[in-house]
Amino acid sequence: MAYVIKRICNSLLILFITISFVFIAGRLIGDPALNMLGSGASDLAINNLREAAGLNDPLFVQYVRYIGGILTGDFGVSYRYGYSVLPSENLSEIAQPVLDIVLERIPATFALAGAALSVAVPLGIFMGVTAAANPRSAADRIVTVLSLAGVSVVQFWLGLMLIVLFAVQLGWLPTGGYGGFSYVILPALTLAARPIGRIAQVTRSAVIQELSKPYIVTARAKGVPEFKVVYVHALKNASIPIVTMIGDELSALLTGAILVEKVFAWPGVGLLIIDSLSRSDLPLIQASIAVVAALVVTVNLLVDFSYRLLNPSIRLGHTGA
Amino acid sequence: MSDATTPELDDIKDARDVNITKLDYARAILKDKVTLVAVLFLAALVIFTAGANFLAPHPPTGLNFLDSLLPPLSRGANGEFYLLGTDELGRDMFSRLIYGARVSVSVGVIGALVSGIVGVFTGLTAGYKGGLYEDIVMRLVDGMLSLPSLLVALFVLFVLGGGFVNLILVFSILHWMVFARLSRGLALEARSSTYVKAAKALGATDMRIIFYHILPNVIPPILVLLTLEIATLILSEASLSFLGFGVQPPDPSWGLMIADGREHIRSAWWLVAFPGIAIFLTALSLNLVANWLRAVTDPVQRWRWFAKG
Repeated sequence: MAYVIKRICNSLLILFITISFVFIAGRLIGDPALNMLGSGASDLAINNLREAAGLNDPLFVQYVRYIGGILTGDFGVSYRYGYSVLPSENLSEIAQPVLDIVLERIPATFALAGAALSVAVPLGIFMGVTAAANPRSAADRIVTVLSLAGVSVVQFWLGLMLIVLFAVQLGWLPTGGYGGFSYVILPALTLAARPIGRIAQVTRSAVIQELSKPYIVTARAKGVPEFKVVYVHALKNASIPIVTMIGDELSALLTGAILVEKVFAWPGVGLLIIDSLSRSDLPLIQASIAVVAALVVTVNLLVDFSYRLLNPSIRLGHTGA
Repeated sequence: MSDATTPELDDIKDARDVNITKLDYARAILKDKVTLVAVLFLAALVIFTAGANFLAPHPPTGLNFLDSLLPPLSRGANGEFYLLGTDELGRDMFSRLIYGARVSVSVGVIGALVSGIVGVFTGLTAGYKGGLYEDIVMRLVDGMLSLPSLLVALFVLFVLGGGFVNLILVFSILHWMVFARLSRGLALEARSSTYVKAAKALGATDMRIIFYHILPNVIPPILVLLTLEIATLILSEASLSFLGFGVQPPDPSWGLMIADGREHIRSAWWLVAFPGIAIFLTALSLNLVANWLRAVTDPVQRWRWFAKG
């Protein structure tokens, strides 16, 4: 239990440092008021914002105010989200809370990551087990090559190639955007390539290791069907490294989605981050990075805990650094 | 690479007794055709990267609007041959790929080396010394590893601006932890070994033990990780450059070439396809070589590679 608390505190500290770092580094890129309103804003509007948002206060005061706001769920407002030019000089009219904007994008990213994972997990495990059950066979070689290919390919390039093939040449699927089931197929497959490879590799080596153990010999001697020996006996005991890898890949999916969303114009958090960076929309950048970092840190924490729960031979805190 | 059957104890003993020379490594590589192809590809890549000025058939920035967007294997208006076609400005794709390799490969190699040196130094010292220092280092490692590195890299490059040097800086800051974690584990293991105890008894200083006695013994796994990290960084460079936060034009990098080609993806697939294939083959070769290195430097597995006959 002490270990759990220690890890949670550690994660909170890391998040706090990240948010502080983003706040301070964000001030290095120029006048925050100008960044918040865009280069098209009038001097009057910029001065008004400076006054209203307290940007003339010392940096430390602003920082404390910012952190205080976050603790109450207030990440600030964006004046530029959704507009290419500033639509009005009346700032309070166009202010949108950035946290709402980010949270609105979360479901699309989760849907994409979930779709990718629901392809990658069964396929990766199936490939890994098949290879492990027939070592040095043609199937084993094919799986090895495919899984290496999956981790060696650049995701966004794979996405572009899939678009060329299935959307442009064959016209079967849309090139991008957000809509029904047909829209999720290509981005999900793109995002799944890497986890399929990683999961297949880990499953293969874990199952091979299990298959060499005495209890497998016993099961075979008792006449248990080979299918059951591999899929029930060996796979079950090989599950710890596989689950760990799936968790690792889940957090990689959340950030990998940045590129895939960009390629397929998928309106998730990743696309929001790219857009807000390219517009230098500071409050939105800060909030979206904070939310994604919190998500990834949480996933990593849960994976760490589940790993320890699954494996009774690792006592909590024993191997922790 | 690995196999379900474990070698007999005698075999292991024999393999350890055999004095393995460089020639044996060469022989082992020749035996494994897939790795051989990967090594040859990487060698060709290095040669082309180093000799780009002589080996590229066309200048990478030579504009020639008469020959714009020619498909692969076509001839230009003046009879020049374009192996991989041309881009919208009539620049030869093959030459640009060669010059792009320069940027992409050197970002990967330098980034991995710098983060490797930082990580191995902190990891070995932390594992060997232990105590509060180790605690602080490993907490930092755990914390930084739990952050989404691509996102942090994006933001830092957004603040600092893209470019070659900043990319390497960002990669070093965000990738030393994997080396630190591995080295710390290796140092922990070595700390209780007889040879370290012997060196200590002879009065060797901590630094001497760490870098003169422990380091040479832990090189193989670090080398494997280094190879894998080069592949990872080449992929990351491509991603960041694609998003516009990495290498800046007119420097040709593979990721940037894909980004540029995207506009013409409907009509000129080769602009996007070839840089991606170049990245893919490079990363795949590095992964294959890493797998091979892991197998031949593993004392339990390597008997298979050096078995005579």
